[in-house]
Formats: sequence, C-alpha cells, structure tokens
Amino acid sequence: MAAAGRLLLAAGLLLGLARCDWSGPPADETEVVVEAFLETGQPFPPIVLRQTTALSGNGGEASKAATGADVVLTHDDMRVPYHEDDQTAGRYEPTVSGVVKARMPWSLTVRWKQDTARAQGRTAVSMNLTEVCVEVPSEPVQAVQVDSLRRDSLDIPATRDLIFPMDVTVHWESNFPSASTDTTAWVRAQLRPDTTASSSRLIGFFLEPDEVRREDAFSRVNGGRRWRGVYAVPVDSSVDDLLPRHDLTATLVRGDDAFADYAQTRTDPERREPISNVDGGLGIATAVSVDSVFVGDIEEPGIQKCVASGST
Amino acid sequence: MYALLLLVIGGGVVSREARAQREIRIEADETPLDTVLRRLRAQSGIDLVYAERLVRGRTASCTYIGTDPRAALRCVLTDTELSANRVRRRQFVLRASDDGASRSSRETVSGYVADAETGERLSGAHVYLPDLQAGTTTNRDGYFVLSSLPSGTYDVRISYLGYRAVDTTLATSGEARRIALTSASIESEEVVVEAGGTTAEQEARVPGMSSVDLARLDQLPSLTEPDLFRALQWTPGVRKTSTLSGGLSVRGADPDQNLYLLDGAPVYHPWHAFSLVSTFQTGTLKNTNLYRGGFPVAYGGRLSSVVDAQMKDGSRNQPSAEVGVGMLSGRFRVEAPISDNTSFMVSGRRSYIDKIIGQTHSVTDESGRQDTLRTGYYFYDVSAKVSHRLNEDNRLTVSYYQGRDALDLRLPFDLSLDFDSWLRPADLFFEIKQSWQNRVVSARHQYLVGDDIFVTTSGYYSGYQAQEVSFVQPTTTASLASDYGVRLHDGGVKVDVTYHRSLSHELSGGLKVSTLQFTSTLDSKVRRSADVIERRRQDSDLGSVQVSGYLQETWTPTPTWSVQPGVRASYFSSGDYFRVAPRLSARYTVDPKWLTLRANAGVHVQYLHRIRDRESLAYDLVSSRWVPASERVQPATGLQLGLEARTHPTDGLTLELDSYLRGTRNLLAPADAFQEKDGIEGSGIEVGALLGQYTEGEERAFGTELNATYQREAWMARLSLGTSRTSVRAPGRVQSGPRWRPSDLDIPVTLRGALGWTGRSWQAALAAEWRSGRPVSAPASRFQVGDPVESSPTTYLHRPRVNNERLSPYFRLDLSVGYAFRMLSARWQASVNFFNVTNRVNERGRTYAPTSTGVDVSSQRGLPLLPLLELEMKL
Repeated sequence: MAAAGRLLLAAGLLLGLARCDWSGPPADETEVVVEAFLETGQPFPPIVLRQTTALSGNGGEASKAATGADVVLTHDDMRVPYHEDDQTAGRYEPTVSGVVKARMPWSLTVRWKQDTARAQGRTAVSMNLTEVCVEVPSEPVQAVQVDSLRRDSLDIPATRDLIFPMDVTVHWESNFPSASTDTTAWVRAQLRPDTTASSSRLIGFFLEPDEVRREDAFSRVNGGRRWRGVYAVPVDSSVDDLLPRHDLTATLVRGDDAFADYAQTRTDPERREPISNVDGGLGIATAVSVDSVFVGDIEEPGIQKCVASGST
Repeated sequence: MYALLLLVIGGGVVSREARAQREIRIEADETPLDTVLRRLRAQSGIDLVYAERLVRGRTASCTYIGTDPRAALRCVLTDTELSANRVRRRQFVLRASDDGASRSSRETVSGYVADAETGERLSGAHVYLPDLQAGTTTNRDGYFVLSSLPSGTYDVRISYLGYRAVDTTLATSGEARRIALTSASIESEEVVVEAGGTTAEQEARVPGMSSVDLARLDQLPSLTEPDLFRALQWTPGVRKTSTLSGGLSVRGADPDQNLYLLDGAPVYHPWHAFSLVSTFQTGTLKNTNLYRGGFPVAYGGRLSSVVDAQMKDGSRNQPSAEVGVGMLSGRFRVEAPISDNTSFMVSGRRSYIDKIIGQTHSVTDESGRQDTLRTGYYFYDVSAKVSHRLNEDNRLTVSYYQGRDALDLRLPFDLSLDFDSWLRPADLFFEIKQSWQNRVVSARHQYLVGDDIFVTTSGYYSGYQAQEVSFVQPTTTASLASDYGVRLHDGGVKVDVTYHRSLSHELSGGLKVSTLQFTSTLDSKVRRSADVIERRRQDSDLGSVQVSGYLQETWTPTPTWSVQPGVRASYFSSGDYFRVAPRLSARYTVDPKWLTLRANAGVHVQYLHRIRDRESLAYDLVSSRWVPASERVQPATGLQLGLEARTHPTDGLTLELDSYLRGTRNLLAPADAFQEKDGIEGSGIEVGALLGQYTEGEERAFGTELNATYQREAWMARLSLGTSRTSVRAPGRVQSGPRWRPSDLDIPVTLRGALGWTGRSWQAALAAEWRSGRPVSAPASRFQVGDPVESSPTTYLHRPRVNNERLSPYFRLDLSVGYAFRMLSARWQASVNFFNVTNRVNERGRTYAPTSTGVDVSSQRGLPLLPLLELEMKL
C-alpha cells in the first residue's frame, strides 16, 4: 500500500505540472521593425526603423521610431554605412552614394539597443512594364454586397449595387534563361485605381486587383509575360449609372521568395502580420525592381484603352 | 512516476525471489494434511489449489528442511494418494493420484458465452476461475478456453459489462458449454457487473482500454441523439475538437490519428451532419472497445486510439423491433432468427429536416418570372448483419454498412432570418451540392481448431467518397463553377490465429494485406469578368499496398503477473517503408480489490496523413484528404508509455488513475500557423501543392486522468479529472524558429461529472463539464511597416508566439429527464434534454484587429440553452 501511496503522490505531481501553462502572458519586449527595399537601378534606399509598441495607446505610438541604431548595408562587397536623418526620426540615409545593381548579393545589419537584426539576399533583375490595356464594359452589372464570411449569425443582410468590372491586361519583358536561378523570381502585379473599392468581401474573391506568383507561372506572350486582372468601380446608382471618371496605376514588382511571402501576407492586417525575413527583428528588407504605368481619365464605356511604357 | 512503477514492480520481484530462497521446514507426523499444506503455503509462498473434500481426513507424515518448494510438496504428499500438478509458476493443483486423467498434461475448460435474451454471442465476457485466480475473456465469437488444466471440475464465474454475473461449474475436456447471461435491464436479484467491477475484467484490460457502457452512457444528456461518439466523450481524455464540427481528439492528438473499426473494417469519415453526430448508432452495436494510447499489436495504422465496434448479430431467439424519433432523425432496428443457425439484424436511420422544410420551392415574382430554390439536406444509415453458424465450431458473419449525407442548396445570398425573403427568383445566388458517404462490407469466418486454436479469417472493403459541386454568382458577369471529388478505396484480407497453450501462455498472430487507392478530381471555372476566365482541371491518383503482421504472447506466470510482449511489422509500398513496432504491456496485482497496476510501452506507425487545403474556401470534406506516406512524406511514428492504477475501495465504486507520455515525429504541421482559408480556389488537389502548406514536425504529450465511477442500483455517478499537455514543434514561418508550443488541441484541465438516476418509469441525469479554454494566439504588441509602392505604412499586430493565450474557461451544465411507459402494446421512452441549462455564454473563438488606438478584441459565442426532445418505441 505504501507503493500505492507513492504512486498517487507522483500522479499528483503530474497533475500539478500539467496545470502549469508555460505559454504565459505575451512577452513585453520591444523589437526593431525594419523597412528596406533595395530597388534595382535606383540609388541606395533610405531605411526606416521603427519599434513595436504596446497594444494599448494612442495612434502615434504605433509608428514609434527606432532611433540611435547602427545600420550597415553591404552591396556587391561594397560597405554602405547609414546615418540617422536629422529631420525624420527612424529614417536612415546612406553615407555613400551608389546605385543598386541587378543580381548582386547584399546584406543588411541593424544594431539597435541590445538587438541585432539581419537580412540578406540578391538584387532583382530590372522590371520593364511594356503595356497596360484597360477594357471598359459598356454598362455596369449587378453585384451583391454581402460579407459571406460572417459566421456568428444566420442573419446575413445583403444589398445590390452596380459595379463596372474592369479587365486589365499587363505586359512586361521577361527574358530569363530557363535554367537560371532567376526563374525563381516572383512578381506582384497590382492595379491601383483611385476610386472607392468594393466593400463586399464576396465580390473581392472574384476580382483580382493584385496577384503574387512565380514569374514563370504567368502566361508567356511574345517573349514576355502577361497578366490579366480585374478591378471594380462601384457606381452610385442613386445619381446615374455612368462609370465614374478615374485613374489607374498598374504596377509590377519583381522580388525574391522573401518579398513574395511578405506581399502575400501583408494585405490582411485584421487577421495576421506579414511574414518577415528579418532575423532578429520584424519587418521586411528585400530587393525589388519596380515599374508602373499610369492610365488616366478612364470614363468612356465600351472601349479598350492601352498605354505603352513611356507614354501617358 | 514510471521510475516509481519500476520500483514497485522491482520490489515485488525482489520480495518474491527472497521468499523463494527462504528455508522451508516441515516436520509432520500423522498431522492433518490440510494443516501441513497451509504451513507449506505460508513458508514457501507457493499457491496450492485443492478441494476441501480432497484433503479432509487425510494426514501427512514427512520431514523436510530445505529451500525447494516442489521437493517439500512431494514430501508432504507422500503416501497421501494425492498428487500435485503445476498449472503456472508457483501454483499447483492437488488431485487424487488414482485419477489417470490428472497426469494428462493438457485438459481444457471451454465454452461460449451468449446473451440469454437474444442468443447473441458476447465477445469480451470475462471468465474467471476463483480457485486458480486465473481467467480469460471470450473472443469475437464469444468463445473461451482455459488450457493445460488438471482434469476435474472447476468453479467458474462468468461476467460481462451490463449483465448479471453467472457462477457455474465446468468440467475439463467436456463439450464447450453454452453459458447465457441475463441483461441488467431485466430485473433480477443477482449481481450486475459494473464497469471495471470485477477482478476478471482487470485481467483482460490493457492501460487506456475502456469497454464502452453504451446502455448507461446513452442516458446522459446530449446535444443530439444516441451516438457512440457522444458516449465515448465520457471517457477521460476524449473530446470533440468543436461542439458542432471537427473530429474526436484523444489525449490531445489530432483526429486523424484515430482508427475507427466497424466489424473489423476501417471507417474513414464516421460523421454525419457536418460532424454533429457519428455514423455509429449505439442501437446497432453490441460491443465497443476504446483503446487510448498504447493498443495491442493486433491493431495498427494509427497513433492515438482505436475504436473497435461490433454490430449486433441479431437475436437468435425471437424477433424484436425498435423505432425511435430524435431531434435529427428517425430510426428503426429489426432483428430476428431466420433458422436455428442463422440470424440477422437490419437497422436504418434517416434525418427528416428536409421533410419539414421541403427540398424544392417554386417561386414567382411580381413580373411572373419563375425559379426553383432548393433547401435539401438529409443523411441516412443502413446497417445489416447476417450471422450463420455452420456448426458449433464454424461461424460466418457478413456485415454491411452504408451511410450518406446529401446537401442541395440553391438560394439567394440574402440569408436573413426572414425566410419569406428567400423565396424569390434569384439571379445572384449560390448553389451547393455536397455529398459524402461511407460504404463498408466485411465478412468474417471464425473457426475453432481442436479446442485451443481459434482462427479468424476476414475480408473487408471500405469506400469513402465526397463531392462538392458549387455554382456561385455574386455579380451578373462573375461566377464560380467547381466540382471537387474525393474517393478512397480500402480493401483487405487478414487472418488471425490465437493459440491457448496453457493458463500461462496464449500466443496470437496475424497477417493482413490491404490495398489503398486515393483519387481526387477537380474541375473549376472562375469567371472574374465577362472576358477573364480561368479554368482548372486536375486529377490525382495514388495507390499503395500495405502488408502487416503481428505476433503476441500473453504470459501469465502467476495470478498477480501478466506480461504481454508483442511486435508488429508492416511494409508500405508507397515510399517503400518497412517498420517494426515492438510493444509491451504488463499487469501486476498488488491486491485484487485495492490495487492493480498496469503499464505499457509501444511504438506506433501511421502511414496516412490527413491534410486539408488551408487556402481554399471549399468545405473540408473535399479540401482535405488522406495522403499516404511517400518518398516526400515520412510515415509518422510515435512512442507511447502508459500507466494505470485501479482500485475498488467499496462495492460499486471504481477509481482509476491513468498517466501517459507520448512522443511523435514526422507529423505534418501547418507551415504557416496563421494561414486561413481566404480564396475561392486554393492550391487545388495536387498532393505536392497541398504538402507545400505543411512541414514535418514533432509532438509530445503527457497527462494524468483520474476517473471515479459509482454505479449501484438506481444511481450512477461519474467524475473525471484530466490534466494534460500537448505541444508541437515544427519549422514554420514563425520567425523565432521552431520551438515547442501548445498544440491547437491542448486543454490542460478538464473536469467532468454526471449524476444519473433510473427508476421504474422515470429517469433523470445531470451532466457538467468544466475545462480550460482552447489556445489562442494573442498579439503582444503593434508595429507599422510599409511597401515598395505604398505611400504610408500599415499597422499590424505582432504575435510572437503561437497559442500563447487561452479562451475563457468552458462550462456547461446539461439536464435530461425521461419517462418510460407502455402504450399500444409497445414500450415507449420519451425524454427531453436541456443543453446548456445555465445558458452560459462560452467563448469558442476570439479575433484581434488593430485599430488606431490599440486593438479590437471580439469573441464568438457558443450555443445557448437548447431544449431537445426524443421519442423511442420498442416492440
């Protein structure tokens, strides 16, 4: 029976141990947030450092700058020290002038307080967006406005509105050798109209104002690549059924895996934070190449409007 | 704790060895034999079994001084005309020397145990010889045999959960006797066997094994209707991952680590009504065992648990019928004998919600435009079994099960509570047709070779298929048309042999060959606008062959010890894997009433992983699938240790203390813990793309479960306290790298209690559950970061740890009241269940969203108070 007693004692200890919750409360630690985009063909970029802030507090605290950091960029064996901008807290400028070259290794080291944050990669090949074509439908279509993801109620009200679904085709140059490591490049294609976006999440599933894919997964057309996206322009049907006059900026960003992870996870701040590639910190430090085309004064229904790179 | 166990066991061994070396001093001169034998028993520690009449009037004259118990016994029996037969280590039975049969080395006691009312054979009944302190359990055919006994007659006690125990006498090497047990529901003055209430039952158990007392557990309050999985949740460590959906989690493990067997055939998706009720109807089952943790080598293919359910054979005595109506469905069961040797059982169940609200609705608007909306949903089960006895030693059974769910909706998007508003012609609408079904066929032949070798040959087919056809049109020019299909075919044959060599040795082995086929298809068309259309057609076809075999010895050297070593080996053709999984379990009875200890250790292998597309908004039925091990995915391997202490301090009261440790590697864990379904199309059905969302990880778990059961006369009470931790570690996109974190199913503390009373007409039950809240990933801080083409940064919440906090503790109190009566020559049972009597608002989810001043926290609440009615009729 003594053995039984010891057994029960040991079991009691296990019961107590299981009661412990090692996850504990959230850590109250401040981390450095890095924001650095090395854009091919552009001068060494400014680097913005912020710090994490407490959950509660005023809005200004969410963008609290990380000052007094030691920042060094290495690009193609060239060491580029940074200094803090006197005018803007948390903004660091290169002390050496230079241009980001394509396909070059780079690394970034940030020392802030007791922490060291690092990131590295290889610079991107230049992006050359060649043409953007916008197809404007002749008339608006009906669309249901409903947030289909509500799960806490059976009472899901829905309304109907009119929208103009706008098809956009974007062409760019893409001449990577098939066996090259550059074929692992990712491209984010993005349509940025200066109109109000559709508020319906359901409609959002069907539109495609942006997409991040491996570059070799886009359609190949005439030696380049093509992407087709759709954005919607809501119509204020209480006034008329005409397409509101608006502008569109089509942008392509070429980057690496880190950029793709970041770009794919940064668009839903209510649910998650973006995936970071900064070791020892948060944020994003990556190399990209960017090109965009501006399409202005879109208002005439039933036409296709194309703009080539270099023209407006 | 396990070191402590070794200490206890080791202490017992050392103590026995010390006793074996003790000097024996016998000096008898015409001393009554009974007195000398008692003296010998006391000095040597050997167990002597004999009838009082055998030694009455006999004397012994012998002088022995030494340390050999056998020599001492021979000395004592000199000139007594008695002899001793060794039946196990340190146990002897005395016989008259002139009984020639007593010198035979192999005599057996055998028989069949059956239900007195239906004639059905009862598997798992306990057969116990009190004189020898030896016992066994009946096999699937209700057969038992105790071998290598000295000839003669033995007192035998037969007991079975929910039945009244029978004490009888059986002679060696006679015909196998048929012993009938009377169900506890039939009034009698005899002893009713309660869960864990007999020594014999203890003999047969392994740590973590539970025989599910369906008759009693069905009386407890529930959200739905009589259901096996609901009953299983009264077992410590077993819970559903969600009240309304999800699967069963056993000791914090993922639901895909459970093996569900119906008459020996695996069931791959045992759920109806979007996981609200299981496909196992309790009324069709005669025997169900649940193994939590380390299960015997006869079972394999999963890591966490085995639910082994057997369908009823059908009454062999008289026809009977039962009809019932519950909250979700109506059901019937008929069983009857066809001939003296053949019986059948057939059962059906179907939901009726579609009969109430209708499946199709023709609607017309003011302009005369017509449309047909659909709101169809139903599920059904059909179970059937035919049992035929070819002769006393041969039995053949064939079982069939088919269950199906079907949902057919065509509705406008406006799902307001104003149902009338739905009924209008819709041009912006959604259509969903979902169906899933299981079909299981199995045949089993049981053959008794001689009286101590039992051979079971069986074959099975288990098929599962699911389909989701949907059409969604949220704008005039945008639509989604998709057709997902998932199919699984599993067919196999197996042979199991059990050789009852002696009271001390039982050898069993088996071989199984099965083929698995997994097919998936996808055809989808997304029209984003009038001209932007994306079409995707994919199919996936994977197959594999699995060969597995096992060997197990059950060694019972003394009445207090039983050791069960075994090994299971398996080969999986996909990936060319060969795994050997040794297992060992042991029982040590410190005191038959006060304390029995059990321990087990074993390796378990799982070749199938169930994963789901974490991006697609398609329902899990089709966006998740079983993926076999391959060159890319290793089979998951787990090491489990279990320890159980059990005591019966008073009649009707059983206390159990279970502890376990589990370590598993090569599990598939989400690569991105924060990924949620957010697209109308996900990765598709290609396995490679799905696997890209996962990464191989490890899991570890430990826990202790304290369970008290009290059953006496009209009262039943249960109380269980479980403490456990389950954590996982997997390389993922959490920036701090792989580290141990609480699993999504980690519930540190669970307390459950139930109190039931059953009178002649009325019955009532109260059940309560309190447990820790589920883990949730809470933010620790806020930060801002920008984008190459955005002018201003975005604010995010930083979650440095996954599952670092918990939801509020969960509490629920349920009440059930039933009334039984007779009407129209039938027995009726009406009951009302109150789910969540206190109408407590339980938190089932929590979301965090960044705001300009901080964070907005919102919670999702669980089900409120729900009254539920049920009516059942028995003919």
